[in-house]
Amino acid sequence: MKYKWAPLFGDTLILIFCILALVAISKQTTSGGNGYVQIQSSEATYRYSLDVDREITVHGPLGETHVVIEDGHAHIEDSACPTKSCTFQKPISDARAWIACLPNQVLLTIVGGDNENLEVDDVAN
Amino acid sequence: MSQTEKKIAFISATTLLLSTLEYLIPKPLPFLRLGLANLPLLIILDGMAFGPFLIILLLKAVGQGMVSGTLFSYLFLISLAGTLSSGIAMKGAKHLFKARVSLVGCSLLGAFVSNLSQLQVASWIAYGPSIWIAAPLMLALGMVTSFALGLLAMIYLQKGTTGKALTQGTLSLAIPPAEEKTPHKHLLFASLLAIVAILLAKGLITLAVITTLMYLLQWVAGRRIRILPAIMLIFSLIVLSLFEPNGKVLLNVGSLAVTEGSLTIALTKALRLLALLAASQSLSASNPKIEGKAGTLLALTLAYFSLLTRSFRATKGSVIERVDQALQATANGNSTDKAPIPAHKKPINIPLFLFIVLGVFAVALISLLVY
Repeated sequence: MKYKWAPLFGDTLILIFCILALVAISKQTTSGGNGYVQIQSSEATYRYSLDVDREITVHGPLGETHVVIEDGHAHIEDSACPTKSCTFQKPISDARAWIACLPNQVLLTIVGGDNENLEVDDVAN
Repeated sequence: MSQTEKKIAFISATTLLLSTLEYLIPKPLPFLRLGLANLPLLIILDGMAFGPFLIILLLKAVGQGMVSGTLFSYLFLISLAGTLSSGIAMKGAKHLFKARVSLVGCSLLGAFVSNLSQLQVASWIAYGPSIWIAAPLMLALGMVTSFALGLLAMIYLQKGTTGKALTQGTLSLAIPPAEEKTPHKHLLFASLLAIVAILLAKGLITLAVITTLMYLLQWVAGRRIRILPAIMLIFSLIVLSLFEPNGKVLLNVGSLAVTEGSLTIALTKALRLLALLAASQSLSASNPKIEGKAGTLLALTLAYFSLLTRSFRATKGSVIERVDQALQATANGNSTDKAPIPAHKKPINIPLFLFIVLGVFAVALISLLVY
């Protein structure tokens, strides 16, 4: 009888390995990465992944606004507004964070991303 | 031709028969695979040395590519990665645990490793990292089907006749008559030229024109055109593009959005892949010949496969009985007299074939100048 149950040793190890790997991969894929930045201008709405660094130019009533995505964060590099106060805003990466250039009617918001981390950060703040 | 070589070719041909059978079984989900073709691999896992086992893995992947016409496309690389990695993992597990692992465990591990490596290669060469979104579902389904497959292998080893004969080496194999196909060198060259053109072409409209021309080429080459897989490919790439937004929002889908940039990227990618698949089909129709020992072994595998499918069609009963009968008949070499020889195919219209390739090349060149 001992031999009959012997295969269960290897099988169990393999099963445990598969389940652990499956759980690890599922956790990683459902965390949703860094989320996306949404840029609303007077013309249209744009959306970009925060995972890829890039520069975006949108048009408002006063002229161009340059948005830069870098290291998973987004900020306004330059804007055709009188005060340039939007360019001094800290780069954003968490949901609920936003940057606005009111004179040029451009609004940056973060959508998607990891919601669990958000709540932890909120408590810490 | 040694007995081992015949055995290798015969087992490889059996995997091809089973993957053809799997293809015929209706599935609720397109990507849900039973992995029937891995059944022979499981059955010979214990009895076959590593060298011949590795050759069987290669013949299985290349043979499947030749039968389905995807040998010269990205799909072959994905399938090769899955077959090789899972085969090596299963053999490794059996070597490590010996009697302390059953075929169910080996099958589980094999399917898991195969799915992982297919996802990795698919993300590198075709779909991008967002394909990993499909990983949890694919891996979980793979665990269920591979568990069932492992059980099936154990049952077959106890009850089936050919499996036992193969592992015990009591099966003497007859050499099937080789089918001589004439290779068309200029069609091969033209298809390769088309592949270069597809890779160089720029712009969505260009690729749409080229893909249409390539489907025309595939039709001229006498290969069957299948629409559903093409639609599935386009659809899946568009769905994946939702997770990498890029540009103007065209449409909101719940918390996700269809964006102009990512839609263009997804469609461009899909059209290029479809055109390359059609090119692979056309290349397969030119009957490329592989020289040397590998070529002989591959030819023998395909000859066994053709005999197996013909004797399978001639048998009656349940699927398992029919497979067993077909294996017996082919091994004994007594299937040829009963089964009809397939009708001869219509010859390829070579001038038309070359003309279309020229068109594809011209469109690609124009796109390079315009963009």
